[in-house]
Amino acid sequence: MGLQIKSLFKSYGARENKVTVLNNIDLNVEQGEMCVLIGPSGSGKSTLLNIIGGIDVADSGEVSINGQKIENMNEKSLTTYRRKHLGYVFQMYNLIPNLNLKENIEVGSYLSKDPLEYEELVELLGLKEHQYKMPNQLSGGQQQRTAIGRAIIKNPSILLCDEPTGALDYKTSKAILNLLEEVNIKYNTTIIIVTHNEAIKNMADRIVTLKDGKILKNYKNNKKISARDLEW
Amino acid sequence: MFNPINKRVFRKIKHNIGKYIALFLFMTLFIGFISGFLVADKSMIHTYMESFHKYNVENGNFTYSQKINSKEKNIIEKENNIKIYNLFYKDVCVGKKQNRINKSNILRIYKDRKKVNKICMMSGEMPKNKNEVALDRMYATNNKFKVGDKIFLNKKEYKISGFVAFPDYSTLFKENSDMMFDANLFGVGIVNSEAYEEINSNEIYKYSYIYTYKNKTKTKNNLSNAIENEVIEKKTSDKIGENLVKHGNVQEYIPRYLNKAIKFAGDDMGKDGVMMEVILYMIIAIIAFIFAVTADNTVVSEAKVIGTLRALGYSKKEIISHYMLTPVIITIISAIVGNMFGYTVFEKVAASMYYGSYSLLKYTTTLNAVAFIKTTIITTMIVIIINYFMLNRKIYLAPIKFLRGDLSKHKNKKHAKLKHFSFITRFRIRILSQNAKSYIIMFVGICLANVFLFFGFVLSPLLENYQTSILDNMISKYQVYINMPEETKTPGVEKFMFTTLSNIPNDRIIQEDISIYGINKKSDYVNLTLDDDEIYISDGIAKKYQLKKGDTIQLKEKYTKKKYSFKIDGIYNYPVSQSIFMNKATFANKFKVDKTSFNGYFSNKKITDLNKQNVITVIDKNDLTKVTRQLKTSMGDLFYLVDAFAVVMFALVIYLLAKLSVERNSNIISMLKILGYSNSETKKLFLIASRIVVFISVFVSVPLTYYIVFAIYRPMIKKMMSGWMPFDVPIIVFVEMIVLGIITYFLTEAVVYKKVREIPMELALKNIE
Repeated sequence: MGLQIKSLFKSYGARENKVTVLNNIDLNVEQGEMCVLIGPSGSGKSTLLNIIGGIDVADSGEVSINGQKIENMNEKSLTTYRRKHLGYVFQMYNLIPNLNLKENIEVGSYLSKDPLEYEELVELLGLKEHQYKMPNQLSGGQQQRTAIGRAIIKNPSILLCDEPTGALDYKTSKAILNLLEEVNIKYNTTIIIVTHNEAIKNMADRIVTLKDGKILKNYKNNKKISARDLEW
Repeated sequence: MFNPINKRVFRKIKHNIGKYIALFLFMTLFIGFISGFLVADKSMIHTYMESFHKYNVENGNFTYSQKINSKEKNIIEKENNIKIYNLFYKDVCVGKKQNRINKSNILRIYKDRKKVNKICMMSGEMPKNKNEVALDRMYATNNKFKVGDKIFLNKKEYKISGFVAFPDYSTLFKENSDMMFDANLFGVGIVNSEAYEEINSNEIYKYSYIYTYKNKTKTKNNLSNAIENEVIEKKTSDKIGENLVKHGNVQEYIPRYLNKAIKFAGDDMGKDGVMMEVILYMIIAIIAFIFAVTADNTVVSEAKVIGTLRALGYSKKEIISHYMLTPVIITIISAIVGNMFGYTVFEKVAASMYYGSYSLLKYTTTLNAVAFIKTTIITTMIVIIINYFMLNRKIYLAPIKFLRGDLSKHKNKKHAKLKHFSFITRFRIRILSQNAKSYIIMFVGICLANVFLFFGFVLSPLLENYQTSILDNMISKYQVYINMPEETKTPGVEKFMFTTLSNIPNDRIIQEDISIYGINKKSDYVNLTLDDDEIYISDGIAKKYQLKKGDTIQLKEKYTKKKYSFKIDGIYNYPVSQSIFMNKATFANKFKVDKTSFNGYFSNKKITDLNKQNVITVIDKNDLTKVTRQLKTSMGDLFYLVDAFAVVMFALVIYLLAKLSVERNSNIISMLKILGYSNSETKKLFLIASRIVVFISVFVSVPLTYYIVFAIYRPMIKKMMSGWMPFDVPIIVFVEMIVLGIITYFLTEAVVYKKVREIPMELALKNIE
C-alpha cells in the first residue's frame, strides 16, 4: 500500500504567465519507507508535498494513500483524510504561543481516536523536563521536536516534513533527523522529507530528485546510513 | 474530548484583560440595565393589567353639566348594558400655608370609592376624620409633601393621612384633552364623605360605568383579555356616546380606551420596552463587530498556526469555533451577570423611573423568562452569527494560503499608486485602506453613540424652545371658555366661537383634540384677515400631519361619527397648537350655530366678572407650559444618564478599534522605531489615520443623527402625544456634540498612544523568519 502518485500535473498562472510546477510525476512510496525529496528551489518539491498533504490541488493525475484517492475529495473529506493519515512538520514550528509544550502535543492527539502514548512519546522527544514550558521558553530545536511530537502523536501513516531542519543549526538538525529516524523505525511511519540539504538523502530509503517539476532520479538507497553518521 | 486549543482562551483573555474587562463591564451594565428595565416593564404591565380587575377599573366615564336623576340613570344603564357609579369630584387650590395658596396647583378631591376605580394604599392610611386627606403619591412627592404634613385646600387646613394611587389616574392628566399631564400642578386626593360635603367648590358630575354583559372585565385580566376588552370598548363606545347625548348636556365622554389618565402609562410601558430591545440589539451588534474585527486580526497574526492546524486535520468548524469562543464566553458571562444585576439593582432603578413619571399602583416583581431570553440567548446569538459570518469568510481560505501568510482573497488586487502624494499621506492612506473594516465599524459606532448623545442633549433645549414658542406665540394671556354667551366689562377682550373636533385616529396616530376657532374677520389677537370660507391651520398641525396649503384635512366630532372636511387656505404661525381658524360666519355656517353666538374670550387681562358656574376653563401660560415642567420632572436625570452612556460608548468604540489598528501594525511600528522614527512620528503615521476617521465620522454623523432622530420623532409624536412639539434644534447642540466627540477622542488617543510607545523594538526582530 503506502503512497502512489500517477501522472501528476500542476501549474500556476494562465496563458503566457503559466508556469508548470509539476510535470507528469509518477511516484510510489511504500509503507514505512523514509523518502527524501531533493532539488533546487522552484523544482516543485514543496508543491508535491502539499498536494500529497491535501492542502494544495493538482491539475490532473492521481494521488492515493493506502488505496484512498484524494483528487476527487471535497473539502470535508480532505480534512478527514489529513486527520486520519497525515502528520505535518514545517520549517517554522508554528506552535500555538499560549499553549505549553504538553498542550501543543495534545493538539495533535485530539485528532486521533487511537493516539500514541504521550508519556512514551515525550521521552522519545527528549522533552520530558520541558513539558510545561511555553513555546517562547524553548529553543528552536525543542520547538521543532514539539512540532514533530504534535504531528506524530496522532499516529499518522505518513509524516510530511517540509525543510524540518531549515531553521536549525547543525547539531540541532542532526538531533531532529535522529528523532525522525527513530519515529520511522519505532512506529513504521512513512516519512517524506523535503530538503535542500543533499546530505540528508543519505539517511533515506528512497531518494527522489526533482528539477523543473520533473523527477530526475527516483531510486532505492542501498547505502543508507544512520542519521547520527550524517555529515555536512 | 475537550479541544486542547481552547485551553488558550482564558490565557488570551488574561493577556488582554484590560480590553476584555472594559467590554465585559460595558456589556454587563448595559445588559443589566435593559434586563432590569424589561423585568420592571413586564412586572409593571402585569400589575397594570391586573389592576383592571383587582381595582374594578371603569370601562368609561361621562360628565353631564347637571346631575341626572335615578330614573334617567336606570334608562341609560338598560340602554347600554352598563352599571353607572357616581364619581363626583371637586377641584381645589393647594398651598403649604394658608396665605400662600397656589391657584394653579389643583387637587381633584374625591370621596372614597368602594365599588369602582378602587384606591390602592401606598403608605400611611385612608382619611378617617374630616380634616384628613390622602394624596396621590406622585403628586405628593413632586410637591415635597410627607405623610403627617399639613396641607391647605382652598385655604382650609388638612392633615395628610397617607399616600394613595388611583387606578383611573395612573397618569395625572387633568383633562383628557390635555397635550401632557403635569404631576407638579395637578393631583388627586381622597377625603371622607363629611369632608367632601364641606368643600366649597363646584361639583363636577362625573359618572363611571362598567359593562354588565357577560364578556366584561371580570374575566381574567391578562393582556389578550385587555386587548379583547379594548376591541369591545371601541365597538360599543360610539353607540354609548350617541345614547348619552339624549339624556342631557354631555360635557365629556371618555371610553376607557381613549382615557389618557388610565391608558397613557400602560401604552408607554410596552413601547419603551420595544425601544430598549432595539437599542440593546444595535449595541450588541456593534460589540459583536468589534469582537469579530479582533478575531479577524488574531487570525491574520496566527495565519501560519491556523495553516498548520488545518494541515494536521483540524476542520474549519473547529477553528471557527475556537476563535468564536472568547466573544461568546464574554457575552454569556456578561449576560448572566447583567441579568443578576438586572433583577437586583437595575429593576429598582427602572421601576423608580416609572414611579417618577407615573402614579402607579404597588407592583410585585414577576420573573420574566422572555427578558432573560432576549438579553441572554438573543444577544449571544447576535454575537455568534456576526462572528461566524466574519470568521467564515476568512477561514474558508485554503490551508496553503494560511501557511504562506497570504490571506488576500483577490490575488491580483491592484493597489492605488498614489504617486502624487507625500510619503506620510501615502502611508496614512494605506493604513486607512488596510483597516477599512474597523473604520466602518468605528463610523457606525460613532453614529449610534451620537444618536444617544443627541437624545441626551436635545431634550432639554427642545423643551426650552417649546416653552419659548408657547409663550412667544400665545394668542392672548388668557383664553376663557364659557358654557353660554355672557358679556364682560373687561377692556380689550375679543369674543370667539369655539368647538373641539377630533382627528381620525388609526394604529399609527393617537386620537387628539383639534381646536376650532371662529374669530373676527380682522382679529386683534390672531394675526390673520379671514374672508368667508377661508380656513387656516396652525403650523403645529401642518408639521405633525405634513399638510400644506391646498390640502384637505378631515376631522370628526368627538363622540359621534360625523365628519368635517377643511380645505386649507393657509398656515398660521402657531407652532405648538393643534388649531384651525376661520371667521365667525364660516364657523356658524359650518357648525350650524347663531352668527352672534360665542363661547370664549381672548384677553390680555384677567377676566373676573363672569359667573363662575359659566366658566368652563381658563387657559393661561401655566396651563400651556405644563408639558415642559412634567417632562423635565420625569426625565431630568435620564438626560444625564443617556449622555454618560453615549460618552462611554463613544470612547470604548474608538479605543478598541484604534488599539486594534495599532496591534495589527505592531511589527511595522517596531520596525519604524528600529529605523529611527520617534514615538511622535510613529503616532503621526498610525494614529492620525484613526483621528481623521473619527473627525470625519463625528462631522458626518452629527447631521445624519439629526435626520435619523427626526425620522423617528414625527411618527413617535403622532403615536404618543397630542399636539406638536417643534423639532427646532439649536445650533449649540451640534457644536456641543462635536466638541464632546473631539475631547473624548483626544482622551482616548492619549491612552492608545501609550500603547504605541510601549511597543518594543525587539518585536520586529523576534518576528523575522
